[in-house]
Amino acid sequence: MSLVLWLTLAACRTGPAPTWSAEKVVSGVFSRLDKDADGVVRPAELWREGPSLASMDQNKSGGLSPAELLAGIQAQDPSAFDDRPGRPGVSVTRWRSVLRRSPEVRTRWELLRFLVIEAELRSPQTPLPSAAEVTALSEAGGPAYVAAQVRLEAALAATSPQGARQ
Amino acid sequence: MMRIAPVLTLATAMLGGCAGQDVETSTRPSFVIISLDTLRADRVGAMGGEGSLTPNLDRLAAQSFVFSQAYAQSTETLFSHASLFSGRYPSELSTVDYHFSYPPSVPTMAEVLGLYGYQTGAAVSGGHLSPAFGLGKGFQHYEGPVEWGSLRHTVPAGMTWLDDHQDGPFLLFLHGYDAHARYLKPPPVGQLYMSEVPIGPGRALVQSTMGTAQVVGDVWHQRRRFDQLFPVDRLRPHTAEALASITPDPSAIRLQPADLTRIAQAYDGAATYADLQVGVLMAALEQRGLLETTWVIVLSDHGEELGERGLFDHRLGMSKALLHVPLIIRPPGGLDAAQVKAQPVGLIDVLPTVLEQAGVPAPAGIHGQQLLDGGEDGEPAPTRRAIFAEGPWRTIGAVDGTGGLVFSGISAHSAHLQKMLQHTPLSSEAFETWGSPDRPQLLQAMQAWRRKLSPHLPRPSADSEARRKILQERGYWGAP
Repeated sequence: MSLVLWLTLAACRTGPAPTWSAEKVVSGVFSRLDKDADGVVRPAELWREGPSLASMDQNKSGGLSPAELLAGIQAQDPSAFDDRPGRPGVSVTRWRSVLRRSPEVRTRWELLRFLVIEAELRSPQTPLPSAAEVTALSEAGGPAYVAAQVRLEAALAATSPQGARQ
Repeated sequence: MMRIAPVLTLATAMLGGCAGQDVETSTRPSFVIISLDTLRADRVGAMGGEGSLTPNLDRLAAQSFVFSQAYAQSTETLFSHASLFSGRYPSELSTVDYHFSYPPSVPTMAEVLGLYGYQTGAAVSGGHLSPAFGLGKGFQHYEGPVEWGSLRHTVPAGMTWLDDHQDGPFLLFLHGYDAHARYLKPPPVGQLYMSEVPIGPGRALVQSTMGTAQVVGDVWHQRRRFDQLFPVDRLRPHTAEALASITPDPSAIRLQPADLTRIAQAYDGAATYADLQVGVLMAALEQRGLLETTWVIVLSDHGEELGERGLFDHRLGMSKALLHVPLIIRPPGGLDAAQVKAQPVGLIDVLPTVLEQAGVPAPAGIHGQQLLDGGEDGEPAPTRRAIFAEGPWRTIGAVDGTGGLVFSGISAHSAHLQKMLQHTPLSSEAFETWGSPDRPQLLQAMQAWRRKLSPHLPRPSADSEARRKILQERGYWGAP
């Protein structure tokens, strides 16, 4: 159902007043704009930018009722106003291209890098691989990587809160 | 429309073929779940926010259960919604990075309800809710009327679907990026809290697609992509040291304090715009006479930083601004007055809560807890020590009523995480906190949480074998 139709039906409705009438839905915005609290938003009370009051003033009364204000707000597309271009959708391929290395390499890299940073702080006497070496070891994987990992873990073991050996 | 017969077959098998054919579907309640993307809890009056930004949410809350300590399970839309739909933590589903894909083997809320006769529809706003990431799994109807759109687009789409699906219980999921960057919304709502018209860089920033995510401190790195500013091969790109090391290029713009203020003002306008759309939705439901038979659940998938750590985004690190979200649950007919529940809860709890109210058994393996034990009589739900989260940039977090503890540097899906968490002292820079939590207690809770999880991928099996051999030879800790 269109908003205009909803507003029209709401205006014609008999029986108990709806809890979520247009007046109530827009009341927070309306009361902020209606600075003199006379129940009508007038040109001087509207923001300087945006649609003119005339374009929202359906009954040409020179002011906006809550229903007219809500209809005027809803008539504007938030994706397209202000002459801004639409935002393109997410490209899964492009998004994933940020992660250049495979999940396995990334997992190895972050562990070794994590251990190096911890060792720098907690075991400064330990010889540490450089950032480039960490990357190379992670990409290669295998025994060389594991040996480096084990060496770093051993260096940190003494300072582990869980003790040296498990 | 997306049809899912093969998936339903699989899910039926997983649930032991127990779909409730013998239960009268007409007695089951319906559900409308509204996800207000990127809305911080502190912008919602009913959640303790100031400034009356959300009169409609506040009115809804006055008839609802209000979870004042609700936390998202991730700081990113994709993973957070995956937890919402599955009742599991993101790392149990896939890698917590942008290779994430919702696994076919894990049932979703929509899928389970569908098995019990529910009609399930969703109107979403694209982005990470694009079907390409798999979050449409289980919905009989899943549409995205406008890419990066608003509830102004998805509410009418949802109502159109609903008008054809009121002959039985339904689940309708609605989502909008109303509070997401681009913050600036159409006037007069978008500028409701601005003292003057923004011009120059400040104007361009609040109307740009992702501009605020490129702001570090008071510099707008307008030509730098997010992954250039915060490279994935930087272990902790969110730390003060990492942020300070970002060098502005010639195109960078130094912002004035007023520009930074207007970002927050535009965000507040976006919050009010989102609130207005919730009001329009409630009016549409009332018009259809559905509020007496329908649960209405309003939540957000994550918050947003508005300069707290020099950032204006939600993907890096973790903080209260990013994880604390609104969660408002209105039962059919509404409550006479708001019932505020202050225990830590998560979006992960929504699935079991919905299924409980639907009279449908929850799938095995979920970690959420149903929140409304005892039904609507206000009996307290089971308490837990903490609620947890996993971020895309190698962060995990534990939150309780007093604050949060964050561990960063190892991905949530890594098989190494549990051990590193066990062996890293709280004094390490890997740990950060906010608030004033009992750090050892929260760490203990975090460790216990990880022990219960089965990270999905990847498992470095070849390395594990080599490692096991070396460790066994040397007798080091951590040997299997």
